[in-house]
Amino acid sequence: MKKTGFAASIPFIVLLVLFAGLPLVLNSRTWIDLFVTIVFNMVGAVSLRLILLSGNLSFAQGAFMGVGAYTAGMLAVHLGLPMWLTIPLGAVMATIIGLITGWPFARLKTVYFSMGTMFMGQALMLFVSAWKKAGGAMGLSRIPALGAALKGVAEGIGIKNYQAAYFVILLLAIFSLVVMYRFEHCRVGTTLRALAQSEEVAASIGVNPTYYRLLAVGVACFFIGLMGGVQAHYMGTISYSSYGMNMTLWLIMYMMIGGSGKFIGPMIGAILISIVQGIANLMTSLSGSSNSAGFVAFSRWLGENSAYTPFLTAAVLLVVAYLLPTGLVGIPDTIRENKAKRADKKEIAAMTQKGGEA
Amino acid sequence: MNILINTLVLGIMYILASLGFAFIFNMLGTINLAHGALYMVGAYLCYYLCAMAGVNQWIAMVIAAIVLAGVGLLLEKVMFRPFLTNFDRIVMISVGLITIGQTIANILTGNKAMVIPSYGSGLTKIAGTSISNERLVTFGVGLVLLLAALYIVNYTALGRQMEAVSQDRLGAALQGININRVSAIVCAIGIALAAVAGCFMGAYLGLSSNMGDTMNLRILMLVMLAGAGSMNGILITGTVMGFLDTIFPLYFAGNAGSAIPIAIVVVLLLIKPEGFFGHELKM
Amino acid sequence: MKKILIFVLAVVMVLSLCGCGASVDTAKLDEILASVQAIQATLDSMSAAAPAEAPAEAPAEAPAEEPAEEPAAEAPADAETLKIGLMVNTTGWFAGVDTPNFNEFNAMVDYINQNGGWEVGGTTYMLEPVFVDGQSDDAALRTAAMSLVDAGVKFVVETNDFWVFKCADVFEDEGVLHASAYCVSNNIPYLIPDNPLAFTGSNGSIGDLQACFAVLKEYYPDVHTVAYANDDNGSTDETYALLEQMAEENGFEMVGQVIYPGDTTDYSSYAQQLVDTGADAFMGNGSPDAYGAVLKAVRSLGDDMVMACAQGKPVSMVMEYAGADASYNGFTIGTSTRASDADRNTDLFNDLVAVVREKYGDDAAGTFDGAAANTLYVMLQMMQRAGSVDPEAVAAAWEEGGDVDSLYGPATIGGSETYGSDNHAIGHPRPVSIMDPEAEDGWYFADWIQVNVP
Repeated sequence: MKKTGFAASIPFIVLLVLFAGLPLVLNSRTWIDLFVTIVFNMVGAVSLRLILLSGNLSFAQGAFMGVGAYTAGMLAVHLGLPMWLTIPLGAVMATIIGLITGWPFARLKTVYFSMGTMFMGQALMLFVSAWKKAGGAMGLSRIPALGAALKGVAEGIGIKNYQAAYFVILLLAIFSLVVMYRFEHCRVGTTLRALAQSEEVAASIGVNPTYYRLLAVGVACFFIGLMGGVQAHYMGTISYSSYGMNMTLWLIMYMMIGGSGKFIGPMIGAILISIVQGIANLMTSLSGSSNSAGFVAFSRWLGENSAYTPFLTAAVLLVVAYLLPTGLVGIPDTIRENKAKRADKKEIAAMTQKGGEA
Repeated sequence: MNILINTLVLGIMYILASLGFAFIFNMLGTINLAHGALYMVGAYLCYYLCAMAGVNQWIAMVIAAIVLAGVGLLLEKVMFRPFLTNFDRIVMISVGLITIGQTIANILTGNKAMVIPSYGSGLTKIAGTSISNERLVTFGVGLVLLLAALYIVNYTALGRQMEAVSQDRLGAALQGININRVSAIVCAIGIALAAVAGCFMGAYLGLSSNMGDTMNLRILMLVMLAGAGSMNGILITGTVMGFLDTIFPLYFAGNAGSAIPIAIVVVLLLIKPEGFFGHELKM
Repeated sequence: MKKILIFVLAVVMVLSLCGCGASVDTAKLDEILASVQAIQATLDSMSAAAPAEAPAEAPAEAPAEEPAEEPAAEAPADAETLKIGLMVNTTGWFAGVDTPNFNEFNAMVDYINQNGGWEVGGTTYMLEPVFVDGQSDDAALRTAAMSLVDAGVKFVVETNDFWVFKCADVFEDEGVLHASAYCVSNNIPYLIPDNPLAFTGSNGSIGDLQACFAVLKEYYPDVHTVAYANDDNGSTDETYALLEQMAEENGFEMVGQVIYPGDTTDYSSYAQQLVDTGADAFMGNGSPDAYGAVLKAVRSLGDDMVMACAQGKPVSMVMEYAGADASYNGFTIGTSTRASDADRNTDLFNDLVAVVREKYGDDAAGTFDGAAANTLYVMLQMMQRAGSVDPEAVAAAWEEGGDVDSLYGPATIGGSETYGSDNHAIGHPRPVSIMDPEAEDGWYFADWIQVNVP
């Protein structure tokens, strides 16, 4: 039973309200930074899912975010271009490189695409680390900050400048998510799904698989590149190591834990796991305004043991892999299925009994 | 001369680490994303045994190899066998494993020097240049293991079974081959080899928290360049990779030294993504 | 697995309690905290048997697992707490360098608190450390800085300048005084007028390289040509220019530089380049693991060149990475924590080493360097001079310059010529530890050298 129309958009509306409202209240730098991180991760995970829809799992999304970030950063630092130019250009560059590196592998089996992207992603970031103009090993710094640029506007409205930066990022993210959602639900999206299910059948009705796969890659790279570009200006300094295999793996985890079946899956996964990742820092920052010694002691303990949190996420991932393959958003469906299964079993048992008696 | 030695040592280690990955790729048709991470776990396990428990490094290597072989058996049973056709779930589990491995590496980085005690000490003079015995031992043992693996693949019954399974899984089963047993043994051997490579590299170059990623990259390059189904192709690509990784850092400072070999491989793969020595693999 | 589940349960429990606001029942939280720690302790003893995951959880990573210190042990009646932040990388590729900083900082805090706290302007303060891990990642470091600011911390000791110049603005905007444990270059935009609250509490690589030249002059009369070997920290060319100057002043000649990436694993090709320069010695600021590996590779090429490691880490660390065969003809400006050398060190130094040994074990004591602890010590002295714990006042006191005490002996504030900011740095004595296969453990402690950072 698929919810349609208004009912289907309730979860999204709830999220929108939360993301728009909470940052007005929880407005310390650390909270806003967490929100920003969650937003970036959400869009990244959703873009990953877009590629997955076409049947391929890309291991280079982290690197493409890096391409967007570095392009925007370098254009700003070396050519002095303004933010409203560098960010879209970052997205465009990510798309171009995504298409170039994806094309040879899009014609081959899924597994090869995954291997190819894994390799390309790491190769890309390695090139960046060797490129002096891109800052080399030190990364790129002195990128004009988004917060600083918005100072005037922020003061006018009465919010802090980093809150203003957050809302700009939120707007861009909403834009990205809406476009990706429409993309998935229009004809192109349905074609993609058909492709993923059965290549031969799709091809037999004249669908060119490579073209559609690349289309998915292009769109996904555009939006994650967009986020990357914004991130460069938000942080003011970027480093190639943030966009390596680590980021890609986390994006995959967000998507898989949340559930790759529905659009909202990666978003939920990103929210939950980003919070887990950032809990140590969050607790430290909250300890400043807390009166209870126990809370403070706990946050200190968390701070010192923060290295162990990936074990937690890995454990959740394994639980999901074995018990909840459809991810967290798939839980209601799984429960419904189990209920139905049990009802069926009862019916059959009742019928056999009757038959036995008769 | 030193270039030759370095090439050989690096090449052998890359090949050893990649063999397991190639086995799994050819036989099971799926990729073991966690191979680099397991290589790193093998190295760190050996380090832990040597540095914190004072075990001799050879014994530690054997222990690490056995433990990782066990992990290989476990993985075959709980990851590959149930989800062979479901790539998504394999990815989930692999990513979980990689995260665990990476975190172990991150946590174990601390006060003690992050090296595994050398596997050979002293220098030998060959043809006018001094070569460290450690490199000779590493190369020697690596070569022996490689030859043993090749022998198994090409000349034994197990090898023929492997070939059969990689060509047609169902057909092989119908012929009476116990595909589960073959897969399990192959996984165990493959991952144990990676562990051994990890131990040697850990002694030769020292441990680092990104050695899993670096090796994963090399493994992917080797296997992709060689192509699907080609075991012997890996020998060639492995040596070439060792050579590139030796030569370029000599002439280019910093990260450029490692970036250029990879650029070369990128170009090669863009031209021929299905590799040079394997069989056809169009959709 | 179980351990993870307990984590989750604990986190959920505490978070849901925290949601009720700040006026939570302290006792209940302390109970929960105690029970979590008890469970963890039980699991630790159980997990020795478990397979694959056990190696990670059982070993004595004492630094990371230290439970939170309770502030105010037996404090005098008018004691207040002073929060001092520590932002270093205890995970990731830089953890090898920063874990000692973590250990030594915490030992210093303990030492001061055990001895009745620190008096500033008539009030005695108990120090409360607030630690965040930078995870050897720029983005994580930035977030960590933000969380320190939000936690109300006004003084921070942080990791090397090439990491923290990127998030200096976070501290500067909020008026937090932050001091780097070690500055690797005068070309990195950290100690610049734009960062009025950025300082450093150790010699940095400039001071240490000067010390190395002094050592070469005195102990290695056969060395005339020197090659610079270092990791790529973005300003190696500028440092090389500085080195050429320093070399000339000291009667040496620089004949080339070999730069490797910070996360290199294979140093053989770099060693080859070094040998090819034909220099008598190689010098630089490389970390013990890097320099040890380079030394090992150089020796395996059959070359005897002298290794001058401008790092305050004990020479024994370099020797571990290099292996016994390669450990000759080299030195570091590292400390000796051997009992036999104790009379060569200051009392404070020996006391601190003892605290580190007790808290973190012999290995931690054996790798004692002191950069972060010294930075804290200097910072605290500046607070006394200012008579206040207001960051701006302390900064002003620091900038007045003059003499100051250090873990290593009498030191002087400096840095006006070297860096952009006036008097934001320090020049303190450096020890000299020389490799010698004939000596006990393969090395001996030569002497202390006075270093000035102009």
